[in-house]
Amino acid sequence: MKNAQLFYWSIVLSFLFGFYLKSPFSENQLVSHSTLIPPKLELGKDSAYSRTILAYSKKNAPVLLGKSFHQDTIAITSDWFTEFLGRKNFCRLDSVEQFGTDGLQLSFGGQIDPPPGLFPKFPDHQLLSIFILNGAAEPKVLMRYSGILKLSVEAQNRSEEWEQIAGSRSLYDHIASWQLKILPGEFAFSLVSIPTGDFSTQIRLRLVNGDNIIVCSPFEFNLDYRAFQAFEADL
Amino acid sequence: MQHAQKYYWIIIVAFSLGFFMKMQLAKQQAEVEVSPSFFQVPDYISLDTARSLRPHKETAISSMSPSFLGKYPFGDSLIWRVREEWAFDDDYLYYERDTISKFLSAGLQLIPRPEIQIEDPRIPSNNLAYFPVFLPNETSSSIALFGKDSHLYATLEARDSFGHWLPISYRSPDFCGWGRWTLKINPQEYGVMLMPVYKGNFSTQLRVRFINGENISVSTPFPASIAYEQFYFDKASNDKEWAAKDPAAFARSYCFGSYPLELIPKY
Repeated sequence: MKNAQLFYWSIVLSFLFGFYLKSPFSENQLVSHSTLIPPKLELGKDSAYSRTILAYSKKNAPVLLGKSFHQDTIAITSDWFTEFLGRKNFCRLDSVEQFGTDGLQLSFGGQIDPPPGLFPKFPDHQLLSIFILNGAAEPKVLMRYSGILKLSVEAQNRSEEWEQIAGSRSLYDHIASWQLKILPGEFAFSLVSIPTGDFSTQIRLRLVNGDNIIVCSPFEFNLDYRAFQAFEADL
Repeated sequence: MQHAQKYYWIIIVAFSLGFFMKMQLAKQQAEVEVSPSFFQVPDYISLDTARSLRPHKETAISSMSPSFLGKYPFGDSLIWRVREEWAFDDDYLYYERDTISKFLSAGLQLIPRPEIQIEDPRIPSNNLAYFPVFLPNETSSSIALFGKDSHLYATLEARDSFGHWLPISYRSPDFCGWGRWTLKINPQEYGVMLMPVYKGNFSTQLRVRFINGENISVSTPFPASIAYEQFYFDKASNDKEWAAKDPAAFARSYCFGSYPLELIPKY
C-alpha cells in the first residue's frame, strides 16, 4: 500500500516537474520590433577621420557616413560603402521606384566628441549623431546627392517659428547621385554640428528623400542664438 | 529489479508527458495571443462586396478628400463598422491635453492596393469604385495621424507622356478650421483611406502622395489608366484662374509640393 502511494506521487511529481519546467522551448516567442537604441558613433583617428570631417566642413551639409544593424559603438570610416557594394545594398537610379522611399524614421542620437578646432565659427558646439531607421518589413531607399544628404536642422526662434540653422541649403533641387538600400531593421547615420549657447529652444531635423519629406520629433536644446543669423548670412 | 525498471520508465514517461503538454499549450497560446509584427494586407475586407462598381471618369484635374476608414490591428480581416473612425476615443490626441509634437508623425508605411476595389461606405449609392491605401505602423512607437472630418490628406499623381510625375488631383478647398483631429496609430495597427479608381484611354502609372503633419510620403508606382485631360484644369471652371493667382502656394497647400502641368514655373 505504502509502495503504491509512493509510486502514485512520483508519477504526479514527475508530470508537474515536466509541465512547469522553465524551458526556452516553452516560452512564448517574442514579437520582434524595430526599436532603435541609438548607438555611439566614434570618429576614428585615421585618415578616414580627417576625410569625414573635411567632407562635412566643405559642403556644410550632413554626409552619409554608413549604415548598420549594430547597436553599440560604430566607428566611422570613410570607405564604409565598400563593405556594402553589390546589388543587395545599392540600386540603380532607374529601378529606385521598385523600392519605397517612404516610411523611414529620423532621429537624433547622442553627442559625438568633437575634434578640437574643427568649427572655429562657434567656440561651443555639439556634434550630434543622426539616425535614419527602416522599421518596416520591406527594404527602403535612401537618396544621396553628391555625397551629402538633403538634411537640415531647424530650430524655433523667439517667435516660435521653425527656422533652418544648419545642414543642406538647397533641399529641393539636384538629382540624386545614387541610392542606398536600407534593409529592414537597418539604420543609416550621419552627424551634424550645432552651436550651443543660452537660448533654450527646440530643434528638429528635416530630411528630403526623393519626393518624401521626413521631419523628426523636436528635441530640447540650448542654442547659440547667433546660429540663426549666421546661417542666413551663409557664414 | 523488474519493478524498479517499470517505476523508472513510468517517471520518465510522466515527465515527458508534462513537458510535451506544456509545449503544446504554449504553442497554442502563441498562435492566439501574438499578432504579426509586420503588416499584411487583410485577406477579407467587409466592404469588398460582389456588387459591380464603376470606375471614376474624370475629364480634368479634380479635387479629392480621401475617406478615412478607421484604424485596425494587424490581422487577416478588416471589418468596417459605421462611425469606425470615432471608435478610438482614448487614442485621439488633443492640443490642450497632449504634447502632440512629441509623437512621431513619420514612419507610417504607404501601401496602395489598386487591385482591391471597394465602395466608399459613406456614399454607397454612387456605385463608384475605390481602392484602399493602407498606412501600417510597423515601428515600436505610436505615430500621430492627422486628418479632418472623415478624411485624410492625400492626392494622386500620374506620369505624363514624358515620364514626369504630375498631380491629377488636389486637396479639396476647405474654408472651415473645425474638425481637425489627431489619432494615435499604435504599433501593429494600420489606418486605411480610400482613393478613386480611374479609367481612361491613357495607360500610365499612378502613385499616392500623402501628407501627415509636416511629413510627405509618396508610394511606389502602380499601373493604371486615366484620361490625359486629367493633367489639365477644367476649362469650363475658374479653378485654373484661382490656382494660377499663386502657383507656389497652390502647389504647396493643395498638391503637397507638386506643381500641376499648367502651373509649372517657366524659367
